[in-house]
Amino acid sequence: MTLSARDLHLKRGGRALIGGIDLTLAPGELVCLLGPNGAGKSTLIRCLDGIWKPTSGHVAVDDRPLPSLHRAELARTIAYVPQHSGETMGLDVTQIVTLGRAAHRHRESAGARRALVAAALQRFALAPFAHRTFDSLSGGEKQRVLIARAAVQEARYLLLDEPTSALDLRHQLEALSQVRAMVDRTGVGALMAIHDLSAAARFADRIALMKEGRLVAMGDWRAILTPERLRDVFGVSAHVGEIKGVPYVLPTEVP
Amino acid sequence: MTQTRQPWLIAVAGAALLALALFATLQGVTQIGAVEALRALLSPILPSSWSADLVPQDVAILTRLRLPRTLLAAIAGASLAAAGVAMQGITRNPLVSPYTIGISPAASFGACLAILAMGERGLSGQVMLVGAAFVSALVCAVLVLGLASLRGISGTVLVLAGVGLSYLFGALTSTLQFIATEQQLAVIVHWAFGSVNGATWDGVLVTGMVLAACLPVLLAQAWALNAFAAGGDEVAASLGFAVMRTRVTVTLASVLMTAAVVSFAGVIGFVGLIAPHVGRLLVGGDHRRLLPFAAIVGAGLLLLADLAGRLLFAPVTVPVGIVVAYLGVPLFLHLLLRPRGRAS
Amino acid sequence: MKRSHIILSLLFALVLGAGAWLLSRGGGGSAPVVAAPGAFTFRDDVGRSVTVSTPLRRVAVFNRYDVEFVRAIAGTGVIAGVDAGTAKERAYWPGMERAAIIGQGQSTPNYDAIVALHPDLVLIPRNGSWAEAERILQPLGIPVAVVTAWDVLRHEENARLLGRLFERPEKAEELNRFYRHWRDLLAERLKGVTRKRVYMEEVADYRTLLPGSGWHDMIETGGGLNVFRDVRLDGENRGRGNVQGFTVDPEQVIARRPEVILKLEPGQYAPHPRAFSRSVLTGIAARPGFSELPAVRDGQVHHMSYYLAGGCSKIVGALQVAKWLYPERFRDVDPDAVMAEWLTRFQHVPAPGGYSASLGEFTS
Repeated sequence: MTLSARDLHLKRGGRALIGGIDLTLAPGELVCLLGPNGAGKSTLIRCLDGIWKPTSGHVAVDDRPLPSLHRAELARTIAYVPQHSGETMGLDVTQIVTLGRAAHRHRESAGARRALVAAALQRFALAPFAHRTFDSLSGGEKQRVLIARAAVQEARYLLLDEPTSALDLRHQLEALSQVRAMVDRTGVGALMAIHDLSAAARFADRIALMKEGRLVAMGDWRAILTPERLRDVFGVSAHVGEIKGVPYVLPTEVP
Repeated sequence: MTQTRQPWLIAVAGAALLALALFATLQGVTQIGAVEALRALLSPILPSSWSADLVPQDVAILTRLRLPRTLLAAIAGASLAAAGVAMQGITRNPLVSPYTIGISPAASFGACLAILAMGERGLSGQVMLVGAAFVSALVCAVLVLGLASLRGISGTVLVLAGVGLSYLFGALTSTLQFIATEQQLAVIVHWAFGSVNGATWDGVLVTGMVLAACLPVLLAQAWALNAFAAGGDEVAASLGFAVMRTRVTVTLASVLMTAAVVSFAGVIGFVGLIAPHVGRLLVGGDHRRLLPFAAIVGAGLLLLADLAGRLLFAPVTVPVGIVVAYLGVPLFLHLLLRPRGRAS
Repeated sequence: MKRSHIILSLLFALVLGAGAWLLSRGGGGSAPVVAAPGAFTFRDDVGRSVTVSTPLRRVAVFNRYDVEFVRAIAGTGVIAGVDAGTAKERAYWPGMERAAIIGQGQSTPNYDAIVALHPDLVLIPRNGSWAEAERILQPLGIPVAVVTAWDVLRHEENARLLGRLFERPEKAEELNRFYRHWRDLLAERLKGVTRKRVYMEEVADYRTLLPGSGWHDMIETGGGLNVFRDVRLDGENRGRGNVQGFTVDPEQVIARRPEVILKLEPGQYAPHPRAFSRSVLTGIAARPGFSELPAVRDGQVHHMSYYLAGGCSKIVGALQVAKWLYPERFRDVDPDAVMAEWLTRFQHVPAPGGYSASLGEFTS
């Protein structure tokens, strides 16, 4: 029972965005997807959720091919947290989080749905914002809402596309902790594209490293985030280590 | 910003609309009392003794002149508002409306073309009229809304494209004026600005049925519209909605409603812009609530505009399309120029 | 929204539709015009069959020309309502202060006002919203007749019809005699004349009038040759206007070398100030290339108010044109006097005079 990609390729406008990706995501683990801009992280995530169709290769959810799943069923299996963008035309926090139940709405009563959403708002400390418009929130609060929406989807897999890029230090830590907590508590399998190498090393069970559309390495952070690898993939020299159990990756210079 | 979410707001709005409609029906050169009016309106279903003492002329005025006009204004307002809400949800753009993206002018062109081709007699002619308006409006919608789904197109560019198409179809309609005979010209000029002056029961029936059929379709898409508003195609897909199917359904319903309205009331701008805006301010962006509320606001707005057009310069009637423009243009500019959040 | 909700809503739509249909059939009922003694059926300008009881006692009339005809034949007493465009010329319509306003113009009738008048008939020209008026007023029992008084080719028919409708055949015949006298005089005096080329312009610069327009007919009845009479409205010409206003290339105007230039100006009852006419005429003469035109060289540039031009199916205008074109043939004809007769005898208003001006008056 995994979310797996096999030999995934996607070409757009003559360019290969991703090529030959093999990846498996199991429930209960947090995998961080790393790589420089343009490495294909967002592309891969979109292919995994069926938002984009790969040119070739297969995506399978729990041994079933992705195209065979009905859209709504897919939404109950995979949840997607996008990079936040755009105005939301006056929707409030409760309504945004309620959208997470969209794929479930034909199978439950309105009351049950309201209760579920209220519980999620509590869990993510969003209850004070319940009736505020989404657009009036700060970046960190917005990200919390999107994660809460994904949580409410009650999916088995969670795909997050750079959830912390626009956040300040504290909210970065909070968001990542929340995702980690979700993985640990509910057993969802989470794949998170992220820029912050130290955070990835700290929170992930496994690291997947991408470069120019290909998966170049996968495994424990100590094996993947070596200075040689970093120079090769990111083009920077860096110190890598641990302080009191917290990993760090400190870029030093461009060689 | 918090919003009122009391469900009774919709009920209150509905009641206010009914009162406004009754008031509007009573306004006119011939003075008819409210009680007499109610008796006249209910006379088909009441025992004849109730309406025996009513002046037949008054009853005829109410039921053949005033009531169709009131109803057409309300239905047109509701249709344009609902279409506006739906289009704004799909494109995540508060500047989008049947008028600003050229769909109303396109429908007008189609209707004019139909008039030139066949004259405007008979109900079968009416159906062809709406059909021609629909096809023409659909062409425009495909162009503009198709543009909206392209990645990298900013909201302002979309509206600019819509304005361009507006001009194009307006120019096409003007060209038709040149090749029209005098009689046809009089009819075509009618369409340039919207008016409910010539409202008849035929028009009320057709537009009413279209509204009654399309509004539930849009309401059924309310969840999907919320998802689109929340994050566009990708988020909607990830939440389990069939993106293409939703786009097509919403576009078809919105365009059909617009085409029906334009076929009988001409081009009325800005209702599809103002009503959704007011609706969002008062009941928020949840389409399950916004759609019916904005429809009520749109109906009321057009009723008020028609009233103003009739009463302010009596006995000269200012077409409702002109009055609405005075309200709509300042709002449009405000929406265009206000600082927005991160661009979509 | 659940499937059952959709079905419910569609049912609701059907019920609404049935209700609307019911309402539209009930309430007052369709009131057909009953054929009574004194009923008269005729065919109007667009071929519709209309039945009314004669003599008509109250009519609602659209368009200034229609009102003029009614006044000439039946007087102002029968006029219950006119459009705002006509009424705003207060000085021209003494005795009609109590007439109701029935809309801005023939395109936007105020049906509420019309119905309140209970008119015996509504008169509207064929370029008005007659189809809509018929649709709305017929179920209310008010007949609509399309009478296009500005159509000069139907002058005598229209006059006779109105004479029959108001039972004033002698007045109608008087009007027709007046008209025919001047029309026949024009035809006779213009026999064998070499027609002079006339360029006629309406309000906007370089906008002329083509065959099919009443003003074109006026020029040709007056013995002129519209230099743009050969223009067909097809191909690219379609985009330049219609018979009532067609934009031409300035070079074409020069190429066609008009001998007379006629500038039509919208007017009202009061004549144009002389200073205004002067600036218009000298402005035309000063246009690039125009100084070489025979019209300008001979001072044959004339400024004419629509009011004069339109009088009595434009016969007065035609007379004035003829006099300008062939003064030697019309030495004994005074168009101002004819206009005065039209105004005093048929329209019952004094004649202020001075509706036209010529370039020759301002340049010596």
